[in-house]
Amino acid sequence: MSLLEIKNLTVEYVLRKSVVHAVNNISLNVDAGKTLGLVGETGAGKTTTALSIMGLLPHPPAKVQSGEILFEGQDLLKMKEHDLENIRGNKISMIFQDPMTALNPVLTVGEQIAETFHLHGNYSRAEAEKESLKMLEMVGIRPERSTEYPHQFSGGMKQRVVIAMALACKPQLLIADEPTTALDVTIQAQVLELMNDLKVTFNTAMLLITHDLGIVAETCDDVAIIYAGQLVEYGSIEQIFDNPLHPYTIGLFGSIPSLDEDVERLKPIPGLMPDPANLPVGCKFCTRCSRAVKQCEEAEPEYLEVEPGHFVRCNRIGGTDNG
Amino acid sequence: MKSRMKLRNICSAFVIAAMLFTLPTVTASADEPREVTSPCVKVAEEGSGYVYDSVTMGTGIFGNFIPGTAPTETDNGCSLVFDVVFKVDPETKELYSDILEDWYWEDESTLVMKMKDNIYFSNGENATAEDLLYTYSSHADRGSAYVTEVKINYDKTEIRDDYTLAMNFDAFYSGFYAYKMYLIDKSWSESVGWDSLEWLQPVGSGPYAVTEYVMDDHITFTARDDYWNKDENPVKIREWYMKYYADSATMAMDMELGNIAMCAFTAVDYERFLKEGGDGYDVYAGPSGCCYIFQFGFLENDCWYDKRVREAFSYGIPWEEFGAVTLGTSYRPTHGFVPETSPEYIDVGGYTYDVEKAKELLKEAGYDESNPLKLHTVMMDVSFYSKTCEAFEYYCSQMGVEFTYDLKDIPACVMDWNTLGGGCELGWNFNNLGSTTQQFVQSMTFAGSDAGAKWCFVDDDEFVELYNAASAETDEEKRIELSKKAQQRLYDECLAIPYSECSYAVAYRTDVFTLDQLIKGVMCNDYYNLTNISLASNWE
Amino acid sequence: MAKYVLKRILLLIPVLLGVLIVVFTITYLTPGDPVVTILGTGYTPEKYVAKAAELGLDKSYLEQLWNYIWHIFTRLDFGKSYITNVPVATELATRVVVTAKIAIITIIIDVLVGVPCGIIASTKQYSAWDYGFTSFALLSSAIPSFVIAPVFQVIFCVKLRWFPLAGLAGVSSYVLPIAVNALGGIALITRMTRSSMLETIRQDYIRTAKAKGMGRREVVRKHALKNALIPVITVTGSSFALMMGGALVVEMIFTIPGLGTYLYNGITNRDYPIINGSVILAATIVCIMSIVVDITYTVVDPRLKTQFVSKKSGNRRKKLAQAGDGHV
Repeated sequence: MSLLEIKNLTVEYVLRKSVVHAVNNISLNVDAGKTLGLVGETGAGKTTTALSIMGLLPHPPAKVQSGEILFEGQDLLKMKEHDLENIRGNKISMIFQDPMTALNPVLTVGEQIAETFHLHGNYSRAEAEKESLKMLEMVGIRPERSTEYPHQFSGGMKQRVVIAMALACKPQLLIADEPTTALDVTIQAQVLELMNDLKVTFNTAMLLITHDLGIVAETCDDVAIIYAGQLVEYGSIEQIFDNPLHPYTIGLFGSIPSLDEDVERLKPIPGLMPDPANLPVGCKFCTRCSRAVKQCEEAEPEYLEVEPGHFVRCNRIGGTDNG
Repeated sequence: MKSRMKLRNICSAFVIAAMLFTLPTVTASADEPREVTSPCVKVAEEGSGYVYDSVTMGTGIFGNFIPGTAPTETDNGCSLVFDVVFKVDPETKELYSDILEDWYWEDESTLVMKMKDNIYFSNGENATAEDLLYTYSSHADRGSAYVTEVKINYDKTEIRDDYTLAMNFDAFYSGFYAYKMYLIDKSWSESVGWDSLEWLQPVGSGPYAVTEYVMDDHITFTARDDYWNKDENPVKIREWYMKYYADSATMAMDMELGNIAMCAFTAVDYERFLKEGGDGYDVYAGPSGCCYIFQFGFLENDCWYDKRVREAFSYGIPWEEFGAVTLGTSYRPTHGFVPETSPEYIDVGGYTYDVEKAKELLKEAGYDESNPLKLHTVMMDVSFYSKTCEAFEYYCSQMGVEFTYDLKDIPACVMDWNTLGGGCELGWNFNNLGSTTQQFVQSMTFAGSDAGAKWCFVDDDEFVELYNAASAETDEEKRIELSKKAQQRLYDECLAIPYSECSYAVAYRTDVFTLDQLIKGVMCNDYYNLTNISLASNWE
Repeated sequence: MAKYVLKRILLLIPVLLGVLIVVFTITYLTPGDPVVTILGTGYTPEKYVAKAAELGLDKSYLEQLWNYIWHIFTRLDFGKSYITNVPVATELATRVVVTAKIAIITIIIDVLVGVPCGIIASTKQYSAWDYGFTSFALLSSAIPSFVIAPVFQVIFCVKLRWFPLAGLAGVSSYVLPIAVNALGGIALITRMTRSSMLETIRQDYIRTAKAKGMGRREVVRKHALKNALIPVITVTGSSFALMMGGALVVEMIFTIPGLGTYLYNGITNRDYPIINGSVILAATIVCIMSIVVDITYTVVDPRLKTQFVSKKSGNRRKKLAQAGDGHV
């Protein structure tokens, strides 16, 4: 049994005049100790998925229409708030995109890490302090700095602090929502390295959300490509990187500029993602797809396993034509 | 059917119950002995010699007790603490004095005043002729508004002996007797000086002394055990507690609640607020001793020198309606320049309202639609003047006259009044320091001279002559004759227009004072004289 | 830190001096004459001149100004009232105590009632509580105090007879003036807290706290409140300073002998020493309050606090930072 099993999750944002279909019938698994990369462009539904796992969706507009999220066998969607609070920060942790604003400016860094300990477990003040100093050291920050405030740290250091907070209670699953997007490249490398080391040390499973295929290559075991709230391709890294099948995936790889060739223009995927409030019937990618046929507009393609562990949602692959 | 009957029964039961409830209050008549229930009064114990141990009253003005320092002369307080030289008996209207044994004119310009020898100030000093002289001369020294009209010649004035003063006049002013001259202890006053804080609790020879003065909160006056006139003129109220109110509405509310026994209102609005009387209090609107007179600012606008223009205003404004509209319940129609109760009163004649005639007169004088008469004035930003100006504007427009006005706050307004060219081309005069025996000259202060407010001056030679003659006349009868002639002249030549007697409202608790007691205390030289209210003679 | 405070206090002096000069000049230039007010309407030119000389009003503008400033700085002598001769400094001292009592209690009530209301309104946004509190805030700031005060008087003093109408006779006299004053203040602080909380709750660090597994109430208490209250401190400080200027209407209606009535009477009578003295006192209080608010900021907001860390320890830390890290 996987550590985390998302089954047929559908999430909508109900607004006054329209309904935004953010997540449409997604199913995912994350195994213990493994890293799953969730790749997609902005607005694809990645963050919504992550927030649904944590139970942090903004309640008035967001509504989980259907599905289950099983963590260690229990459905998180049906859990009471009190129980969810016990899981958050303790068994499942999440780190967010922008480190600059993720820390409370009026509390010291040490206090904020210690908070996690106080929330989950009967630590005395001294013990919690000791543990937070240890965590700081682990993420490469000198423990003397635990009495300093967030504004005294740089972006990269702040993200380290956030990681320290997230991993303090040694969670089984870490959800990382574009953790390095806001950082510059050299720092990115440092932070990723840190995350990998810690993952190995604590044997934490990770759901890494990103739009950067380079990071996926560095850190992930499996990859899921998400488009317009649906999974369009899923497989191990080798499968996806060596043999991308869905036109969208191919387009993604194609749009990465190559260091070897000397070209004048980049090759983006033409068009924009459809309006999530107004999704088309049939394949959601068909307006941008170079291989679309009439059938694509009419019927939504099925999600099929084309080789063991490799799933694709496309009419032109897996059974029918291969043109 | 049944339910309607039931409802009717309930209603009638209610009505009967209500009537039974009010029955006791209706049957309780004024003949029964008064029971004092208002919290503003503490009834004195039997045998203490007093009727009330303490009475609380309200006022909106506090100041020091230096006589003659307007506008904050705490008048009521002065009358308690000091003795006054001359007073007028409210019933006989005759002049009398508590402190002078006798006074007479030695010759045309010398008035001899003989003091009693047993007058003592609260510091134990005996009052002598020096103090009497100082009482008058100190006004001149301080440049106070008092005593400006009478021309006392201090060089020729003699102190004949300890208690005799022979005052010499360059020009007598018939209003001399009406001045409230508070007897001051010269040695004490000179030793502390006019700047001293001691004037908040001054030394005086009156029946009361200031025992407590808390700025903008309250003043306590306590009856003196060593009052020199205690045997002849005892007082029946041991303590007056004068409470300060910054806001008249609050004062009126406290009157309703019974927290104060007495308060005076100058604003017509509040008089109306209390006018119905009510639970335990009543409002007395009495004559204050002068008249509201509409005056033309001769010095500020030449148009007034044309009699036709002046007459136009006597026809063009419905003066009775004007009085009723602007003064409300304080309106008391009059045909004279002094109150009816004054011995100088003369019915000069009334006015007819005829707008067409007014317009005709204006046309003759050269003003019509193409060239309307334009008038402007500056008045104080108080309710009386704002109402008056507003009404006047309306009536002027009916006449075809363009009238504009500015309302400024008191100091700014007074400055404009006193400056030539200040733009006050007309105004409404009244003198609130009057008495019911108000003398004409005092009522028309400034009409005969251009000192002070410029719009009060009546620029007519014959009138000014009569006015000055009446001012200087020492013989009572002759003075009254001259005064009546001057008034008639004003009417015949339409030099000023009186339209209402002045009155002011005093609200009082009916269980503390009767109306008679109040009137006796009120209808005197002053606004209301607390000492007179306190006198034993008022309580017998 | 002490240096900063000292600097601010020293800066007070030129500011107050400026206020002094401006106030003095304005009262000097305002039409209306204290001499006329004192003498009334019947005076002769000689009397006018004598009185003016007595009050020192015949000197030139600069001479009067200089005299005034000199007396204040050497003897704290603000002059005496033209009308009552009571020294202004003594009067101010007694009155400021009265006004201060009312102002302090009002502010305390404002904060104690306003902050919780604001928090409830913001955490239960769009609920009946929220609409209730914001409507109340709107109403009480829209209805002016000169309407509320008499209405309270009629209800609580005349009809119910719970409180005395006017004056300062014991504790019960303070209740209504404080209540009327507080209404407006509560409205302001509720709105301020609410909007500040709404803004704070949308911040990312709140999301982080929730992701750590913190319950809603605890998040509000530990994380949101401290941040949200910073703007409220400003508002409280300036409210207090304004109130010390004397809530004039309330003071007059309830006949409280405070700063407000004193200043008002002074203006009506053109009593220059009173006007100048009261305004300067009010200005001083405002300046001091702003210093207090600034110092409170540095205590509450660590982003400002670190600016004032003393040089010595700051250097030591910098050295350590450069030595050990290697990371950026």
